[in-house]
Amino acid sequence: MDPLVAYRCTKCGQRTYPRHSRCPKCRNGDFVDVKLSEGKVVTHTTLTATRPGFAKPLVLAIVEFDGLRILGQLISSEPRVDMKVRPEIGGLSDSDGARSVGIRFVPK
Amino acid sequence: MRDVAVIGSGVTKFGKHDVSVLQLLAEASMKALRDSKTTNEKFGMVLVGNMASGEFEGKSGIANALVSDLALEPAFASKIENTSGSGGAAFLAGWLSVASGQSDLSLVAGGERMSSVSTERATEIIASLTHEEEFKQGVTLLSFAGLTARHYMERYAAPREAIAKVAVKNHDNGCLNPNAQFQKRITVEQVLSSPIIADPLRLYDFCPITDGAAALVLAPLEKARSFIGKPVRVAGVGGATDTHVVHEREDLTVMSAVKRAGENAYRMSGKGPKDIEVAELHDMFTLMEIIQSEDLGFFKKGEGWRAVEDGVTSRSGKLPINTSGGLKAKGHPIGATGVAQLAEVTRQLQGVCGDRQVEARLGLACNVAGFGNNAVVSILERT
Repeated sequence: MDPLVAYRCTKCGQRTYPRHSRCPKCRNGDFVDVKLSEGKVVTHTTLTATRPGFAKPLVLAIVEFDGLRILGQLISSEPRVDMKVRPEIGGLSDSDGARSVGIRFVPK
Repeated sequence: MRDVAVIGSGVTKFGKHDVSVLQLLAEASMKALRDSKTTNEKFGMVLVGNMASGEFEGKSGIANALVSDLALEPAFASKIENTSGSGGAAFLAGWLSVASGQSDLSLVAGGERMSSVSTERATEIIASLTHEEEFKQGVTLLSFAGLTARHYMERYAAPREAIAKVAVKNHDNGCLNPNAQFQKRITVEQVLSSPIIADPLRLYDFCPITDGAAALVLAPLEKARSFIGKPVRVAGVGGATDTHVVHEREDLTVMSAVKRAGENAYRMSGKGPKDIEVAELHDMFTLMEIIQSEDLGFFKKGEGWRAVEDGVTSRSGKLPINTSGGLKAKGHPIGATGVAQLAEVTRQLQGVCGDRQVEARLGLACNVAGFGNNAVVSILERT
């Protein structure tokens, strides 16, 4: 499984996810990939009114990786603030047609 | 730049309608033209706030359609789109058109017809304003609200009941607004026992899906009294943005677009938060009204819920918020909201709000786009 990749500005070192055309901090336009490992849940919600093609209910979380925050699906039915998670690339929806794949978080 | 006045307003009933958004816009506009006594006047510009007429009804170019329907040619016209901040953005554009001298009379209308599609489809249309990396995760604006609420409540130990009370207050106000979508009172118990939608938030924490339109007529202040007796002066207008992606926000409990737009409007008006006596805020969900009240400087960060609990923001309190019923009880036709907020503030300052009238000389409206992506704050003054 590929670890999650974020984008580090080559000029000021600021990490972002998702990628921008210009760095939010210094407006430079050049980035390198950086790998992330373990993160901590900052906040979470369990959505019952989900959009077509998504799991119901759907657990979403904002996870912090050493100061960098990222939103993604949390694969847990018992989410907790401060829960330790690791990122993985996995399925996000199972709608007919193209299957969506992206970041999601799994409890460590 | 010359001083601008609001000389008339018009609002349709908010709710479910079987007519097109164009018809709703025309109805609100006709009411505003009559209210401002400008039915026989030549207009310079027509600005129309609307988010998604294409997605909801398959119609584009609705500003041009409205001009012709109202026989206002050759006035320049344009749709102004800023998602749920479209109405406020249309007002900012309308104000600019008159202040600059480009137009001597401008019509600002805002409307949305959402019931033409299913609730599911409407949710999808609204969610399309998010970043692709958020959208593919299955987010809706309601999920951002849930994420924010959990975080706010933990950081500030805000009681769940105080947050629920925003909905109770706004329903109470809505009962006195004949145009409001909901005309019934609710209790804290009802809010807290309504179905969970995005925990910890429930159905009654959220505003509904609505059809409706509102309109304002703007004129130079120096000419305003040639039309009507009680023009309302535009004292300040400001707009600003925050990050598109919600998890990039510096502080999840602060909407800095609201903060900056507010600072810009206060600066222009020469007034501050303490001078505001009535306000219409963007309560897309209960806690959002509280967050805006803090970011606009009315209360300290994390303390806004106390004001709700103590009745400070009720009609009889020191700073009535959302006397119209807010988005929660009045309804939220996306493009209409920013204009309807200003219509309410205008009417409060003109003293024509009947049973929900409060005493105010200076009022504020805050219209928010997306989940705090963008905000327009306007300050109006009784003349």
